[in-house]
Amino acid sequence: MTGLRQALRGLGVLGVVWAALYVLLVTGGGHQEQWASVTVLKTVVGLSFLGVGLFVWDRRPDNRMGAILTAVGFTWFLMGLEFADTPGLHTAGLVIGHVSLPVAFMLAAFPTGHLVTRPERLVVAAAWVWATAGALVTALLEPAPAGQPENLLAVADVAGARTAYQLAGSAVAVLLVVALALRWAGSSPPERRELAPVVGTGTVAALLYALWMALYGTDSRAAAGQVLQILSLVAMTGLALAFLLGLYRARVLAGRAVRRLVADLATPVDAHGLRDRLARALGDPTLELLFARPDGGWVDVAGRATEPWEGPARGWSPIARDGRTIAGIAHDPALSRDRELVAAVGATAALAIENARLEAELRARVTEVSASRSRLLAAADQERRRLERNLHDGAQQRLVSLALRLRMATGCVEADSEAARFLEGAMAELQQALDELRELARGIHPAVLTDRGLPAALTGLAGRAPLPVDVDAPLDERLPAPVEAAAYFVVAEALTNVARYSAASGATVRVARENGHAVVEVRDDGVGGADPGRGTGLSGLADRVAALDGRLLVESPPGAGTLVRAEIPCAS
Amino acid sequence: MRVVIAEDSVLLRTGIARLLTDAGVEVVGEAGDARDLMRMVALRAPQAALVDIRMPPTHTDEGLRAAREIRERFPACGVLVLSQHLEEAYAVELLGDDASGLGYLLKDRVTDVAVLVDALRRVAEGGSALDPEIVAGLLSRRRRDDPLDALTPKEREVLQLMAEGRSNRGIADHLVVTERAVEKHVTAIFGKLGLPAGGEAHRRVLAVLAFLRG
Repeated sequence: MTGLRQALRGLGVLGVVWAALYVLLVTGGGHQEQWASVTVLKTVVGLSFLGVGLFVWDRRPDNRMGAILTAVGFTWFLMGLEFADTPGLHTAGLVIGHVSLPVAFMLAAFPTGHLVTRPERLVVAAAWVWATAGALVTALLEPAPAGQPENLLAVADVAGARTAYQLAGSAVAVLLVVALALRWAGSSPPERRELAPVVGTGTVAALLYALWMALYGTDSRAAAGQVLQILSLVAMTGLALAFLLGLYRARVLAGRAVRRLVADLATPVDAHGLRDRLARALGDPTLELLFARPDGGWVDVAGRATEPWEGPARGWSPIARDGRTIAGIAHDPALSRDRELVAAVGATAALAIENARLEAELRARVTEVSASRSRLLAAADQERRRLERNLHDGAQQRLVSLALRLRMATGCVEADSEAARFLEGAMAELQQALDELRELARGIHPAVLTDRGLPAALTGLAGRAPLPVDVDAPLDERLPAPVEAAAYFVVAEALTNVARYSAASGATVRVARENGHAVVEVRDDGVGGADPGRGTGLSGLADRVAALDGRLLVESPPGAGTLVRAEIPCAS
Repeated sequence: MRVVIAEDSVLLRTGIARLLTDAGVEVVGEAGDARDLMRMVALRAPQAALVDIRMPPTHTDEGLRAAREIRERFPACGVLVLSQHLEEAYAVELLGDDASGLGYLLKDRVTDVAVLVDALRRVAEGGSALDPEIVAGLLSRRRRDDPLDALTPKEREVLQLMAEGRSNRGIADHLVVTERAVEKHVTAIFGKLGLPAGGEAHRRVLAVLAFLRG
């Protein structure tokens, strides 16, 4: 058993003795009558606060509410002093008998044990002034009525002093209600959920108290006053239990939230959906879900890199699985006091979170891979253009120079000689090499595509096709270079296939911009039945198109021609 | 004939210059880029410029732009563009809507000095020249219900030569027939293809080109 628990036990025993003393004082005092039910209720209230206070103190040693509630319990029984027949004790009771009230006002400090807002601090200060200075002044100005033990402090007799004191007490209680209302108005939904039991019963108790004080005060003879007092005491008992509920509501709620979450997670959700469900389970619409990355960084549900932070205005709860932190939730600071609730919800959702995290990770990887694929494609295209240029400006120039020299050489040899025939043969071969080089360069990357754009390049392509090809490419402006290249090679490959397999009498090529896409279509009137998987030509092009986030479709029903259609996203 | 040559490869430039000189052409300037070329055309008043399509700095189509500028600022100077590209797009762009004094030849043609000099002479005289291979490509293009099928082999030959930018006289010389015979063929061709007859050689080129491109 810890030292704290032992000390608390001691306090508990002391409290019970203290309560017994109170009962003895009230029942033993002959000068003042109090309904037995009131005595019982007052004892219950005092013991309730004491019990709840000690329990909370034991379970939440770091929360001052435990100590505050215990103090309410102890000071509560000071009310019994007034009933003493001994003038000394009776007088002391008049002065300090009501200090439990300002202590009870500490309900405004719920749930942290610290008064936060200025109105609350002012109200608690006013209650202290009322219960100490106010009581002292009243004691000085009001001698004991007949039949009561002597008021040792009375120095004057001012009529209405007691009434004024009671009205002041009533006013302070009303001010407390106002302060609580202000606090409520400025609270977030999770905070309100936490505050609701205490603020609710606290308001009722304070209003009943204010009413009782204003109308009857400590006039114990009026039956209506006694009834009002009983109601007020019942509310006080409720308040003690409300503290317990407020502080342990988390456990009660956790079960409900977890059951609901389990049902919610029965259907698979993405990261966004998971965040929404957690936000609902914890009742915090501002909740953010962050995933831990293997490299130690964090990403939000949209996959953006971010950093968790915690402060007075934001709470942070990490979620672990198998001893590893896999995620965390940033939430309303009120939830930071509901560790059990957050932990229960986090544990329930851990598997789903792990899945969503892996999915987010996967999505991030896919984005990376797709970006790197388009970079590779762009680099390959650039390399093709460079090669084409080098062939034209390097090899071709040299071959033309060589042809010139051979031509000059023929001028130096005898016509119709063997040397002249050799030279003629060499020049013919050279011409063939030049033709082949030109074809090669065009196949690698047509210069006309770079220089003049897609329509010009497609017209050239169509002109060389061994069947009639109509080109319809009404483009007002150039498409991005990778899109142009992909479109060109799709048409080139499709036309090659048309010529090779389709037995078509003609084909049409259509290029257009539709809904943010460049659409390229090659349609023929041939035999159809083309297998998109055949050969590497079209599948290689499908990869090229996919690298640009586009897609390639081949429709080729037997006997009804073939349509090759590429759709490539391109912002206009 | 006074000619300037613009070609950034020194080896090729000097080779062409020598070949042309041997063929009796007066090479009055050799330029390495478009700026040099413009200066020489302005200073030396050549009758024709032989211009490489790719020149510094971008090596794309400097030659085409220089050709347009020369025709605009120095109408007395014809321009023959030499190109690596067997692409009608460049030729059609060069000839534009006034083919007079403009020509487009494949670069390989420099070894055939007769063809080169003939083309230079035509552009110098305000005519046009289009590479035979490009014309052949246009003629062999497959069309639906091809109207060219109605032409006799001789008429096809005449159409090819017309498209290359030759005059009736030139065609007659080339085919070794009389000019009258060529005129008859031309009339028949225009009739069969439904083209408005006549016009100078360089206007005829554009009409035929437009027809062949569909």
